[in-house]
Amino acid sequence: MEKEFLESRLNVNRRHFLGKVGLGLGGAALGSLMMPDLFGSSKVTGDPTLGFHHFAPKAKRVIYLFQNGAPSQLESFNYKPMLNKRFGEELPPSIRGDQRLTGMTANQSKFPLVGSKFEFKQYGKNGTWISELFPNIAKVADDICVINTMHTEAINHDPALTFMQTGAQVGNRPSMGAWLSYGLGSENNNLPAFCVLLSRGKGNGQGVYSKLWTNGFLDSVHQGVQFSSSEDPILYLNNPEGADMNTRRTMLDKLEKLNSMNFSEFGDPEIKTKISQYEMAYRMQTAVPEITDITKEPEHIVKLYGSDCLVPGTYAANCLLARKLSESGVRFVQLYHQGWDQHGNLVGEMPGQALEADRASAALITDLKQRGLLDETLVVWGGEFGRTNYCQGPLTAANYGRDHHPRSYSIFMAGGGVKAGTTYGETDEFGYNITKDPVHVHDLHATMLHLLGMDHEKLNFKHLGRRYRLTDVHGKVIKGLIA
Amino acid sequence: MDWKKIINNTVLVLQSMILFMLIFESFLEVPTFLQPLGRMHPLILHFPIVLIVLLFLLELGKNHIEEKSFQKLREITLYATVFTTSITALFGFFLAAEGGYSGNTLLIHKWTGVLLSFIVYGLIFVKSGEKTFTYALYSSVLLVIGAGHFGATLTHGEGFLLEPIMPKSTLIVNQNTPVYTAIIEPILDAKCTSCHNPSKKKGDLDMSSFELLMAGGKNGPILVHGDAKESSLMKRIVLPLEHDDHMPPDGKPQLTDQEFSLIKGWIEMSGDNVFTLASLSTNDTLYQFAQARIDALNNNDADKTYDFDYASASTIESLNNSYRTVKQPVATSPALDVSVFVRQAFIPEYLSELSKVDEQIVSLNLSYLPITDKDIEFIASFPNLEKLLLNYTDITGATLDKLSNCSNLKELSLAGTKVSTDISGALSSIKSLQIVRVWDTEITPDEAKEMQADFEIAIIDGGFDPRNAVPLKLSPPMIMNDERVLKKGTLVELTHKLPETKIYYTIDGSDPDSTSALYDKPLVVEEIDKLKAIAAKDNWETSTIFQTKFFIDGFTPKSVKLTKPADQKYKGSGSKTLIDKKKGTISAFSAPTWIGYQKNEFEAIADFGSNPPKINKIVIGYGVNMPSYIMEPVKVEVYGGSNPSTMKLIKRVNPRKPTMYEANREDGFTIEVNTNHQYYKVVAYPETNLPEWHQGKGEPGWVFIDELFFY
Repeated sequence: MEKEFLESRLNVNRRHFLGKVGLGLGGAALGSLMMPDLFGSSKVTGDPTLGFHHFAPKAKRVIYLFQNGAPSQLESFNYKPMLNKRFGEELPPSIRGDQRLTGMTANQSKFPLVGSKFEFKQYGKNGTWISELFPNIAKVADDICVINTMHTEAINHDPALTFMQTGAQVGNRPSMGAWLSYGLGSENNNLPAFCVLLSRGKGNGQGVYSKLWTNGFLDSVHQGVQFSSSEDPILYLNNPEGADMNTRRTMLDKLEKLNSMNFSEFGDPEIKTKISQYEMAYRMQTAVPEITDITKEPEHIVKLYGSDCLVPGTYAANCLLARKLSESGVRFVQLYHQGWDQHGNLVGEMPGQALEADRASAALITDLKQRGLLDETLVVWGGEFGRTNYCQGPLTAANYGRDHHPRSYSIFMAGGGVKAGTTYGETDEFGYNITKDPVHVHDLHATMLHLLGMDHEKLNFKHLGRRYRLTDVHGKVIKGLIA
Repeated sequence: MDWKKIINNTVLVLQSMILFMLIFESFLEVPTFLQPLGRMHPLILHFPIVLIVLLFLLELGKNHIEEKSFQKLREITLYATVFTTSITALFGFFLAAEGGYSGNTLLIHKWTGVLLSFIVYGLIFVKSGEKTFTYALYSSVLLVIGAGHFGATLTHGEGFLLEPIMPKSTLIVNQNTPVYTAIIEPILDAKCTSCHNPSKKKGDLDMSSFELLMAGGKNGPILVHGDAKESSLMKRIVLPLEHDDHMPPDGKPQLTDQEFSLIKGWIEMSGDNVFTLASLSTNDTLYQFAQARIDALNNNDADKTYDFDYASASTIESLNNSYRTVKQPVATSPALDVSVFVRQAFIPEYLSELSKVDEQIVSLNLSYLPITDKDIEFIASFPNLEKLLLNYTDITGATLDKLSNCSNLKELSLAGTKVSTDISGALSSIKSLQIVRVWDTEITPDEAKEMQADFEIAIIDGGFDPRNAVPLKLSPPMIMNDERVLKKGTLVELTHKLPETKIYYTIDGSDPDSTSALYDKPLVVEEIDKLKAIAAKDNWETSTIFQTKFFIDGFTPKSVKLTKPADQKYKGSGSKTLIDKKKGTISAFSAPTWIGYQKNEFEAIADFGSNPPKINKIVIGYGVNMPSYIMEPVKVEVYGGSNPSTMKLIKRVNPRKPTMYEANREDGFTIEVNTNHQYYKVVAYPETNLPEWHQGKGEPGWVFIDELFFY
């Protein structure tokens, strides 16, 4: 867009010119003041605008494995044996404090504590606690950094999910991936910088909506591109019958001439956009099949991810596709895996849900690593909030449910410069409140941007009279998460 | 009395005092009541600086000012200058006498200051316009710059002025650097030495080297080895900020908690400049703090400095195209990242043109491209290459030894190439290598381990080893038909993406196994209601059962009417939802394929017109999603008749009650009718009272209906 503005300024009139000139001189002076090392180094440095990192990046790309519906931290990464000892006892009011409840348990007369029905063990060099539901993630314990002290502000799915993705609970801000596309641009010009893949697990699901991958007020090129879960992840890429690549090329060349004629007459930048989009579509015709064709993957890749990865639209297939996209330079691949909302029948549902997520998530980490890509790819795994330490609905020895809990929950990150093999933050024995090292959603965003070489306070966009950031006016980089 | 005279006399007195101070300085003790005057020196010195410059400017611009005004102006400025210069110089002596300053800088500052005050005083006696005046004035300008600079050096410390633009010497620290050098000295440099240095020894203490630090100040040694509590250094740090003896003084940058702990730990350890991190146990608090600090130091180094030149912006720009990305990630570092994408679009120039930035390429990703052995030689001409990704390229490894030219190459990924154990020798010639990835190559994971043993530094990563993996469950077969409502005779196609997988199926509702029918061609749907299929393959566990229900398209009523309102939120697409031939998926119950009821029962009337066909059975399509409170209907009724208001009950069915959570499913009730009425009314009642075992026991449940079939 900048370029178009520059071009349009070629048509400035006199008043416009005088108005701008003052600003321009001041700007030049200020620019030289702010240019780091202007005198310290005689070397020419690049223009510190967008597309440049604020400092050396650790990660180049992100794969966000969003576990939609909020997986229970108490059955995954936050080991709280006391809840088993005090099975059925009432949650002490002093622990609950003034925590508001959802409409689903607010009227419950009792809040009986319930511990994990699933065994926990320690894995990896630093003894990361992981439950038996995630045996494959346990195998990559030395590559992941578990955060047990995530906390959020929202208590219902939609606002919490929107908050996690856009840094605001209302759905009109740009999503993380859009910010990254805006800040860093595309690495591979033949693919969108921000891709979205959806899958649905066996468990109780919650919806996802396109507002989660919106560009908000940023230019629409930064919007997430949702891939289809069918055989053809991107529709209408093939040439129509009877047309080959040469015909297509000739057609595009002719069309480009016509469009250029139009552009020289009207100067509308949208015409240029159109020409470049046609060109990109042409290149995608060769680039995309190379990426989305999973039949060429060796059989041991299928053994790594599980044979579900051959079934389009499954979580495993999306993890595999995420690796292929990321490997091809897609800046931000966003997965949503639905089915983690275990209000009741947790014992019945969570193993099945975890089975699907466990193998493919761990496979993705292993796979990135064996290609030398894990250190430059930031993988994030987690939901929008946690689940309560007390039972929702009837508590039996065999089964229970858990309601939404925003005060503490667990996610993990891998690769991309995070402190691998560690567990960050502590919660109380009830797994209810954070006792050490909290990580707010804004802090997570700030830290993620930091790992990508962006200062979360500098990556901003002026809209409606003020500058907006992914972290708005909050957020601090959590150094303890960075290797 | 003339004001000029008053000033003249005052200045004479001041000048005599300066002279007196100059001679007898070392014999004098300045009384305390004069100390505040001394401390005003840094304040009032700004007057002479400005006034001398003003005088100079006036002199320069004198041709532009009317003669009379100029004389007046010059006179006033001159007297003000003389007065403030003298008083500044005198106060300077008071300040110096207070102690804490010494060394050459002070000496130079003193003499330039005194000289300045004498020369400026002399200006009064020289007529303007004379050459002497001009010379005197010019030299005072030079002197004031000199005196000012050395004075500032006294206040702010050596090198203050040029510090931001001087190249910083980077301290390289590791486990074997003495803790004093690695940790303590930088803290002292940052927080103490601006007042305790050779030229400004506050309290006679100079902290600029270890020996001087040990020598202590006017109150003796400042630290007791091994005892932080007894060390006056620590005592002063822990005093409250308001306390006069607190160090660093109020208003100066204070020590952070971490720095405090480090100094304390260091003193308690011994407080010498010998012991290193390596000599500490890793559980030691000092070790942990110090390690964290070293990590932080090395992290700052993440903006790695390179001594090669920047590539010009235009060169970088010219190298970027649709398939090649050349990027300088950090504005302050010349290092470049290069990636080339899309195998089919690759032309050799995409690689060869990179010679324009051969020096700057630090990271190069050529994965999946048709890169061959002979290209390696060219890649080896990038002297600063650190990371090279050649995954799934066409190389065989025969020329990898060429890479020994890349003396900075740390990471090499060869996954998916044809390299074999023959590359061992070549790899060992690349001394800087830290990790090599050979997953999915001719090198087996075992061989990778063997190679690993031969290398001291590099890790050979064999990646995922499928042989040790337990056999996995196959994914179930997939069905190619999207529709579940089929016309009679439609072909049903099953498939599995993993080659050489066998599919067994049944259509009678029984569970398939390896003795069931083997799928070899598409099935013809005649009467298939329930299809079940499994996938099987050697070395894999047989899949779970894939099952689906087909609904053969039957008679379509002329119209359908919903006679009880559906729930506000789940109205589907209205009554036409029921005959649109589309089955829904119950996990997506808010999709328009479903109509949901909670308060009312579902009730719909189908109209077959005046010439109704004979209907044998009616099937009501419903969904079950128990965690979302969506249960089977508890009662289903079918009525029939030739008039909507006089229909009679044909059949009532009470389905079984579930006793525990069941998996989500989309199902249908079949109700035999065998009549030919014009109108049929179908009613399905939701659960009003969820059972004991359900999370919402006692609350009402829902029914969700997606389709009605008439056969």
